[in-house]
Amino acid sequence: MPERISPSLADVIGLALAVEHDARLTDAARHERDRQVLEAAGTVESDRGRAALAWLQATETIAPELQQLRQRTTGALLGLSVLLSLAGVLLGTTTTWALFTYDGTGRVNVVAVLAVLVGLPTLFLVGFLLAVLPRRALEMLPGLPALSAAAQGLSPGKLARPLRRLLPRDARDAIEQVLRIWRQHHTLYGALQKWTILRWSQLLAVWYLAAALVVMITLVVFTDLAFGWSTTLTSGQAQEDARILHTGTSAMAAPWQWAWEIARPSLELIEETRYFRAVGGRLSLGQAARLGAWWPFVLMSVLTYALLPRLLALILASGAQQRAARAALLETPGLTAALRRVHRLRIETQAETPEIGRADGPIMDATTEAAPPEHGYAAVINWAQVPVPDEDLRLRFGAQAVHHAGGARPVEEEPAVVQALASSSGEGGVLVVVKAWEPPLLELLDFLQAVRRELGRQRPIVVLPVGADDGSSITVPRPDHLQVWQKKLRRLADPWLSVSRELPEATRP
Amino acid sequence: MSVPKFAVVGHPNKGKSSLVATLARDPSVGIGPEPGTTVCARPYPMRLNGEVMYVLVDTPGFQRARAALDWMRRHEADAGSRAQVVARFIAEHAGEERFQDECELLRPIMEGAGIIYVVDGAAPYGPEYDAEMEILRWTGRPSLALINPIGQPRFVESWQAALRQFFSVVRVLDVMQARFDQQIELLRLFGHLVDDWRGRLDEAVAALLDDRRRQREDAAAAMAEMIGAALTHVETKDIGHDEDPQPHISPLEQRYRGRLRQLERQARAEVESIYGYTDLDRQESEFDLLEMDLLARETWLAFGLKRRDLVAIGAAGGAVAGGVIDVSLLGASFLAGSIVGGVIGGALGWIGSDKLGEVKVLHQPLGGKRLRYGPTKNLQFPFVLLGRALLHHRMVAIRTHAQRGRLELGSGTVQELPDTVKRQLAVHFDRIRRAPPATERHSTAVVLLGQLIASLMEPDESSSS
Repeated sequence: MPERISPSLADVIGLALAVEHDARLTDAARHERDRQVLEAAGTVESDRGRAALAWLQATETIAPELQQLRQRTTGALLGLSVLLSLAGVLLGTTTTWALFTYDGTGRVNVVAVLAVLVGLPTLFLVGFLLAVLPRRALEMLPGLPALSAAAQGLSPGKLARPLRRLLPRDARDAIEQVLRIWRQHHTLYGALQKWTILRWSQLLAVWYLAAALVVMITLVVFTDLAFGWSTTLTSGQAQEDARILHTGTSAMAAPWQWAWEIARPSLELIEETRYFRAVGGRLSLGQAARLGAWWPFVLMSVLTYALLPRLLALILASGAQQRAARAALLETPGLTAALRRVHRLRIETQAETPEIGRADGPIMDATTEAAPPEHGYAAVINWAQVPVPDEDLRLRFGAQAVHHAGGARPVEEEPAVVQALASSSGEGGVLVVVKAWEPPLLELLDFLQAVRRELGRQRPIVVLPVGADDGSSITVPRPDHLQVWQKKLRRLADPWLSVSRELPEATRP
Repeated sequence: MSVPKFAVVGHPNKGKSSLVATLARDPSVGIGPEPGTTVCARPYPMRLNGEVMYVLVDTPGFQRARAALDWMRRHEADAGSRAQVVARFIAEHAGEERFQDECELLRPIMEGAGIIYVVDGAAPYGPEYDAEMEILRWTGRPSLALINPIGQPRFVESWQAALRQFFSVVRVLDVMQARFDQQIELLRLFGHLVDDWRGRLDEAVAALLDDRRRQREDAAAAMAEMIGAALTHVETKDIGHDEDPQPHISPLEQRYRGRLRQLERQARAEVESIYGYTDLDRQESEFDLLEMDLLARETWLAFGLKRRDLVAIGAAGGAVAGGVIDVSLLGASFLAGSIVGGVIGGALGWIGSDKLGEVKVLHQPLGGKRLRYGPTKNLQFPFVLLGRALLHHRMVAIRTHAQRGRLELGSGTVQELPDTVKRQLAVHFDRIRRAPPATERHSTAVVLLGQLIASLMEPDESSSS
C-alpha cells in the first residue's frame, strides 16, 4: 500500500491558489500548461493526493510566483506559531511569577497555584475535548453541540488573528490569502480551519505550561518559597479538612508516588502548612523549612495534569489537522477538473502543428450576377459532363456550337476546344455550364484563363452553375453552391467573367 | 511494427477535414464551404502515453487530377512501375505551384500511408472522379473508400458501384454525425487494411474505449458534484439587530438563484471540456426553482457563536456558580444550587444574546439578524437538474468535432427514468441533503450519486436521437 501523503496547510492553500491561477488562463494557455505539467510530473499518479501534489509541484515549476507564495505562506504560518508560542511563554511566565510572589508576609497558596496552573488548563482542556468530539457523539446529548461550538468559539488559538499584525508585511499578505481562501470556501475548509485553530490553542497552552514549570523551578532553586494552603470552604474541623485534602492530594500523586515519594504531601505537612490570615505569627527555622516541601507535588501536578495532557492534545490536534489538510487538499475546488485535463492528455489525437491557410488573392469587388451578353452566346461549353443534352443547351441559350471539356475527357483535348472558341464568329460570349454541387477546381480556372487568353479582353465569359436534383436533368443551383462559385471566380479578377444563375427554358426557333 | 498512417484524400469539399476533425476530436481543423480550405498535408498523431499509435493525415483535395494523370501516363513504362511513376511525379513537381495540392496529398501515401478516399453520397457520381481514383490505384497502397453523405444520401448506390471498381472496401458514414461506436468501428476497419497495423490499432481502440468510459464517469461525477452543491447551497446575509430585512430579501434570492445557475453552467462547461470542447456556444434555457420562499431568519453573534451557544455557556456558568454553593453546603442543598444556577444562567444567555447583538466594539456590532436563503427542500428540484444535465451530456457526447454550430439544448428531451431508478436517485439526493457539506459523508454521497448517474448514461451511448 502506498504511503499516505502529508500535505501541510501551506500546501492546501498553495494548491487552492494554483487552481485559482489556472482558472484565469486562456484555454490555449491552459492546454499548453497542462502539457508542460504532464511532462514535468511524468505519468499522472493514480492516487489522487499524490496527483494533486505532483500537479502543484509541476505548476509551480512553470509559475515560480506560486512557489514563492507557498514558501511565504509556510514562513508566515511558522511565524504565527512562533508568535503564539511566545504569547504562551509570556502568559505562563507572568502568571506563574504573580502566583509565586512571596515577600515573606504570607504564603504561596497551593490551592490558588493548582487552580490556575492545573484547574484552569483542565477547564480549557474540557473545552478542547468538547470541540473535538465527533458530531455523532455530540448529538447524543442535548446541549453538547452548543457547548462544543462555544468551546471552538472561545479557543485561545483565535489569538492568531490579532497576532498576525505583528508579522512582516509579506507574511501578513500571505496570511490574508489563507483567510481569504478560508472565507471563500468556509464549508470546505471548515474542518481544517477548526483543527488549525485548535492546534494553535494547544501550542499556546503547551508553551504556557512549559514556561510556568520553568519559572516555578527557577523560583524553587533560587528563592525560598513558603507554600501553604488556605480556603474558606471548610468543615470547621482543621483535622478533618486536612484529612480530606490529604485524600485528594494522595489521589493526585498516585501516578508518581512510587517513583518520587516526597512528591506526595504527607498528612503532617498538610496539617502544618494550613494557614489562616487571621492567625499571624512568626515561624521557627524548622517550620519555615517545612513550608517549601510542597514544591515537588505542585511541580508533578502541573506536569502530569496540565502539561502532559496538553502535549497529548497537541499531538492529537496536529494529527487531526494533518488529516483535515489531506481531506481539504483532495476536495480543492477545481482540482478535479485540473487533474482530469492532465489525465486526458494521456491520449492525444489532435494535430501538433497549426493549419496553414491558402494565400488567395484579394476578392475582386465586381458584379457577380451576369445578365445575358448583348450579342448572345457564340458557344456553350459543357464542363465535366453536366447531365444535359447538347440540343437542350443550344435551345436554351441560342448558341451555335456546344463543346465538351473536363470530366473524363483528356486534358490534351482542351487546347483544341479553346482554339474552336477563338475561331467562333461574332461578338457573342462563351457560356460555361458547370455542376454547381462540385466545387470550382483549379483545372477549370486554368481552362477559363486559357479561354480568356484566346478570346482577348472584353468578350464575355459566363459561368453557369446548374443543379441536378435527380442527377439527370438540370435545375437552378442551390444558393450556397452559387455563392461558392461566385466567391471563387471573383478571385480571378476578370471583369468580363461573371457567374449566372439564369436558366432559361428551352425554346425552338 | 510500423506506425499505421492514413491519408484522407479525395475531391475538395467532400468531408475529408470533417472526417479528420471527428476522428481526431480536433476543433482546430479548418472546415469551410469554399474548396481548398486545406492547403498542406497535416498529420494528426494519436498518442497513448506519448507513444504514437496511428497517424491520420488531412490532405488538400485533387485540383488538377487529369493533368497529373496525363503526366503519369506519358511517363509510364509498364503497369508494374506505376508506383515509381507517382513517386517520380512528386519528386519532379515538388515546389511547383501547379501541382502543389497533388504533391501534398500523394506524398504521405508514397511514404507508406493507407488511403481513405472520401466522396459525398448526397451528390451524384461523375466521371471527373475517375482520374483521381486512377492515380490512387497507381500508388498501390491499401485503400478504403468512404461515402459521406453531406445531406440526403440519394446517390450512395451509384457511388458504391463506381467505387468498387477502384476500392476493395467501401463504407458509408455520415462523418458529421458519426457516433462514437461508428468511429471506433471505422478505426477497426483501418486495421484490416494492413495486417501489421492491426495490433497497434486494436490497442489504440482499447485506449479510446477506456477513455470514453472515463469521460462518461468524469461527466457523471461533474454532474453529481453540481447537484450536491446545488442541494446544499445556502446564501446568508448578516444585518443589524434593528435593520429592516425586507430590502435584503430580493437580492439574497437573486444571489441564491444566480449561484445555482452558475453551478449548472460550470458543470456544463466541465462536461464539455471533458469531451474536448472549449468555448462551445450553447443555446440554453434557465431552469425554474419551483419554489419561492426559502427564507429563514436567525440571530447571529460575533466569534461564530449562536444564541444556543450563549444559552449553553450561561447554563454551564450558572451551574458551576450554583455548584459552589452546593459544595459550601457540603451537599445539603441536593444540587439545587447547580440546577437553579443553570436555569438562571441559561435564561440570562437567551436574553443576553439579544443584548449582545446591540453592543458595538470598535464600531462593529457583536451580533444581529442573519437572513438565510436555501437550501431547497423541493423533491423535484434535483430530478430537474439531473434531467437537464443528462440532456446536455447526451448532446455533447453525440456531437462530433466536425460540427461547428451552436449546441442547441432546447429541442432535446431525456428518456423517462424507470421508477426503480427514480427511487434510487431519491435515496441518494436525500443522503446528500442530510450530510453536512464538506464532510466525508457528503463526499461519499456525491461519489455514489456520480456512479449511479454514470450507469444511467450507458443506454445513451449509442443513441443519436
